[in-house]
Order: sequence, then structure tokens, then C-alpha cells
Amino acid sequence: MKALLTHEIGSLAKPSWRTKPMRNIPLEEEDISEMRRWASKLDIEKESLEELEDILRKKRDFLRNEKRKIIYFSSLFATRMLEKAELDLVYDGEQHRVEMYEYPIRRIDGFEFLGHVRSFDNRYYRKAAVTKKPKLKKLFHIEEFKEIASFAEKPIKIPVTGAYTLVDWSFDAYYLSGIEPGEENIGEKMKEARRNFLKDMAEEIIRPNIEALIETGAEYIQLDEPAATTRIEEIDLFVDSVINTLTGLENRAFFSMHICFSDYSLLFPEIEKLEGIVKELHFEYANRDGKELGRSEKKRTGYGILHLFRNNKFIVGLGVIDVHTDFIEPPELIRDRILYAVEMLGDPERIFVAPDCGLRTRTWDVAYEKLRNMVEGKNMAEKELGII
Amino acid sequence: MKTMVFGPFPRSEELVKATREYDRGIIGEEELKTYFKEGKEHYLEITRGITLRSNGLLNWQDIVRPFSYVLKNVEVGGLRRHFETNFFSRILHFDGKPEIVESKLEGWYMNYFDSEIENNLYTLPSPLLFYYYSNGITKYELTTIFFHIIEFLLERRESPILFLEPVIPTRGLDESDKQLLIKFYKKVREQTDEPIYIHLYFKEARELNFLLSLDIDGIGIDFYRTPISKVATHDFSDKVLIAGVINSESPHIEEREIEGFLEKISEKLDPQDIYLSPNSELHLLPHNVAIRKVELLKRWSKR
Repeated sequence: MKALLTHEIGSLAKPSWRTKPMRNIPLEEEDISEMRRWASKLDIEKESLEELEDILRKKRDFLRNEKRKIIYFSSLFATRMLEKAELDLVYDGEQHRVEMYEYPIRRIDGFEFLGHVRSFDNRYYRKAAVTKKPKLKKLFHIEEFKEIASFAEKPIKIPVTGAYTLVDWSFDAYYLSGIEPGEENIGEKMKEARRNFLKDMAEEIIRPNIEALIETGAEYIQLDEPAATTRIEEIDLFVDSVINTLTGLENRAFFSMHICFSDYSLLFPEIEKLEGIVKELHFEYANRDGKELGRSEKKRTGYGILHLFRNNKFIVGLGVIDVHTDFIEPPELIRDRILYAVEMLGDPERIFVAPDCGLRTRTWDVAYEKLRNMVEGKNMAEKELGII
Repeated sequence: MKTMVFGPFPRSEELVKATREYDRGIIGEEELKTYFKEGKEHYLEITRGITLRSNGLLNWQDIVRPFSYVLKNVEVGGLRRHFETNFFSRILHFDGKPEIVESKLEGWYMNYFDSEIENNLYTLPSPLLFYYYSNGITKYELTTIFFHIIEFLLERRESPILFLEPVIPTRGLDESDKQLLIKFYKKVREQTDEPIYIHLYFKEARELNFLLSLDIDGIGIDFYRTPISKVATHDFSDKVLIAGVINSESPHIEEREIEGFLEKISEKLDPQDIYLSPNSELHLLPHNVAIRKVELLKRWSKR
């Protein structure tokens, strides 16, 4: 693989001209102006721009096929944005998806949405329960993949939510049935139920989607597992679920895995069972790092956990952009973060460069500037390493 | 049969919508307060007939945040995962000596507690849970200031208190924790004749010998993580058993399970009294599911 390959991690914000029509909120003139500004910045073809303008000019009461077209164009714009930032691998910022949980769950038979639960403050998510053995209604990433592949000019990497996260974020009203409060060995029985739920989700749902993606031409697939470290006693189940999802496919595509901010040390050494199956492990580093330039251990506090990779051969997906702030990391800071990691691991080919996580909480302006600087910082690091 | 509903209850879909609209600037604070008031009235109606109930804690953003509003030198910080759930609470950062702002106490009480509800159960974080979500302060300092807040609550209205205690099952206790808890519960006992309960959840109950020796009236057990046999070896003869048999992390309604549980527990344990309750925090469920679980408990209240 190319040393210091750059990519993003899934989501980008959805533009207002994409979200308002889906919520049946009338568009304002400024939404359309914003679309034009980005169309110009991204060199969107005149024909496409005119077609989109024709649809948006209606401002309200969009028909189903018009909404479909709006999603197509937001996907095109987002892909172009990442290409313009000169990333090596691109996607469309998940413009086709509501979000990473509800989108797949709605496409699986055996789940029932029960209502909102709170995640923090006044933030909520719709939570579903598994009520019978899950069965795929329809492969759920093929259409978006084909669409993005039809216009992407760079190689694409598709994110897929992993089995463990879908299970952890759902209620279990099927596998746990029959468990009595206070019964003997209740902990073991709960874990066994969880194991069965995970096995079905990995083998019957996620794996067929991934197989189909590979058959459709996907070469880079990112498994998203933000829940991986939620339950310390289930790290083994999490690793088994990835094995069940991907074993036998490891030579047919490049698999990376993204795990959101958490105590990553909990994953080791168990996660090393995935060596040879998952090639790249992408973690968040920048949001716990300092902003000062420098390549010393003292300056690069966020990257201390790289020692976890000294005894294995994973490619390190190096988060170099904090997705939670509007601070635009200067290229020199990106360069220093990369060079520090190279020094820690001793091999630039073991490092891929990316933001910490999806950039969906940032505006497109901020996201774009951050990504541009990321690529520039990577170029500076390459120059210093003499690999171009 | 006695029943208990403690801690935060899930917000209704209307309240979810209203709080989202408030965050987006679509509705103002007064309108949001009206929604919370209606939400609380609805909750009180739903839980009428439950032997002991919290006030629903619908406007609590998490279990420690309200306390930051009556303390000086505290800032609300970043998120921390609420144990192994997908709910996150904010850390309170203490900077300097924490002090109670006396002038705020009355308004605060009216906003976060309740003066009039029947069968009121104060649900509070245990000192260890409060400390889990705090930094910049010692356990001793925090417990001292927290005790003064409890003093105020009990002066304002005496009610049974339940302390939420997921920290002991998940992390255990060291000797200094034990000394702190002995002193804390002794002082709370001196303030009230009302029952004092703690509820252990999110992992298998442990440290039961020590906890049974405390000057408290009852202990809650998460029976979806603790086998009856682990509890049966202890003497509950002078303690109330709060039986967490309603699973707050599953939508399944326990129509069938409670009967069997009570049969088994009566064979193995003879507590002073039993309350049927959720095993952990009901706000982990959607509102409509939590209502069905409460309705089941209400049916048991009539037996």
C-alpha cells in the first residue's frame, strides 16, 4: 500500500438544501445561494447545476423522485469536495443515509423501532428491538455504492456499520427471551444470548452486504464499530463478530475498522486476532493532543497510545484532525503528528492519514479547510521523509 | 405487594420534540417549562398507585447536573459514558472550594424536586456516583457538600431516599470508600427517620456483607445480573429487599417472570419486606415501553 495514504472517516454534514426537502421544510433563497457557492467552488458541471437548480427552485412540496435527485446531487457535491481536498480515497459523506444505525436497521427484517431514548442532554436516537431472527430485507449499500462509483474520480472507500455496534445499540427481545430474573448463571446466559445475536447479525446481515459490495467492485471497506469498547467483558464477543463477518473475504478487499474515542487499550491484545483480516485500525488521536508544533512525546500527548501497535502489523489509521472543534489544524501541526507517528512505528507504510472521525458536526467550509490542510501536512511529511 | 419506581423516567415523544425545538431556538424557555410541567403531570398519573416513586426527574439532564446549579466554583464539562450504556453524562469540574448558593436553593428545589407529590421518593446519586462524575475535588470534600444539600432537602420535606449506586457493583470498594460510606449514611440517618435505600445495578451485586452493616433500611439488587443464590447467603432480616425484576434494558414486559421470582426468593430469603422495582434506570427505555412496565408494577401493587 501507498505510505501515508489519506482518507476520510464516513460522515459529512448534510447541506440545508438536502435536509430541508426531506423534512418538508421550505427552502429559502439563501439555501439555494449556498448550493451555488459550493457548485462553483467544486467546479460542478453546468448541466448538473442547472438540473439541480430547476428542482430546488420549487422550494417546497418536492416529489419522491425530486427528493431522490436532491440526494444524488448532495452525494455528488460531497464526493467532489473530498476530491477537491485531494484525498486519496473518497466517499460521499454518507449523504444517502439518515445515520449509521437507523439506516441499516430499517433494512433488516426482525427489528421494530420502539421510540426515542436519550443519549445525552437533549439528544436522542430512535432505538429498535430485535424481535425475531434478523433477516436481510434488501442489500442496503449497493445502490449508493454504484451511484458514487458512477461519478467518483478517485478510488472510494465505503463505510459499513459493524454487527457489534448494531447489536449494542438495539434492545434484545428475542435472544434474551426465557431468561428469568435471579436465575442461576444469569450472567453467562445473557452473554450466550448476546453471542447468538452477534453471530446472526455478522453472518446473516453484515457479511452478505460486504460480499455483495465486493462483487460490485468495492475495494476498500471500512467497518464502523463505535461501540466496540462499551462493555469490557465483551471484547471477545466483539472480536468474534468481526471474524464472523470477514473471514474468507480478507483477500478480496482492503478492510479497515474505525472505532470512536474510548479507552483503546481495552481492545488489546484480543483485537490482535484480527491481524490479517482487518488491515487498518483507525482510532482517534487528535482530540486528546496538544496544538503546539513539535515531535516530542511531551508535545504529542494524544499519540502515546501508538505503543499499542508496536507488537502487531496493523496499518495505523492516524486521526490527525479533531472533528469536535472548528480549529483548523495548520499543515505544520499535521506534519508533526504524522512524523511523530512514523518515529514511533518506524515505518511510514504502516500509517494512513485521516480525520479522527466523521466531520458531520462541522460546516462544509470548516471540514474542507481542515481536509485541505491535512493533505498539505501529509505532503510536507512525505517531503521530509523523502518518499516523493 | 409494595412497588417502587425510582430515578429518571424516559421523556415522552412530545417532550423529546419540545426539548429538540428548544435547542434549535424554535420554542423558548417558558414554553419548554410548560411541556415539562405537562410531562410531570402525565408521569404522576402513570405512576399513581406505585408505593414509592421518584418525581420522574424529567428535566434532569443527568443525575449530577442539577447539583451544579446550587454550587459555586463548579463548571459543567465534557461527556462520560454512563457505565456500559449508550447514555452519557457530563463531568462536573470543581475549581476552588465548593459552596452552596443559599439564595438559589428554594427555586432549585421547586424546579428539580417536588414539594407535594404523594408517595415521594427522593432519588439521588450515591456519593460514589456523584464523585464518579466529578473532578477537581476529593471524595471527602464532595461528600461533605453533598450532605449539606441533602440536609436542605430533608428540611424542606422528609421523604424516603434512594441512592443510586452503580459504582459499587461495577468498581468495588476500597477501605477509604467504606469509611466514607459509614460516616455518610450515619449522618443522613441522623437527619431523618424516613427510610434510606441504596440500589446496586449494572453488574452483579457485591460487598453485601458490608452494605448490610450500614445504617440503612434497604438494598436494591439488579436481578438481571445477580442470581438469587448470591443474595440468599446474606441476612436481610432487618433490611428491605428492593427486587430489581423489571428489566430497564429490555422491552420485554415481565408478565410471567415476577410470579416465579417471588416463589424462588421466598424459598431462599426472608427479608423484612420486598419492593418490586426496575433493575436499573427506566430512562434507558423508550417512554411507551416504560409505561407498560409501570402498569405491570401497578397491577402487582394491587395484589
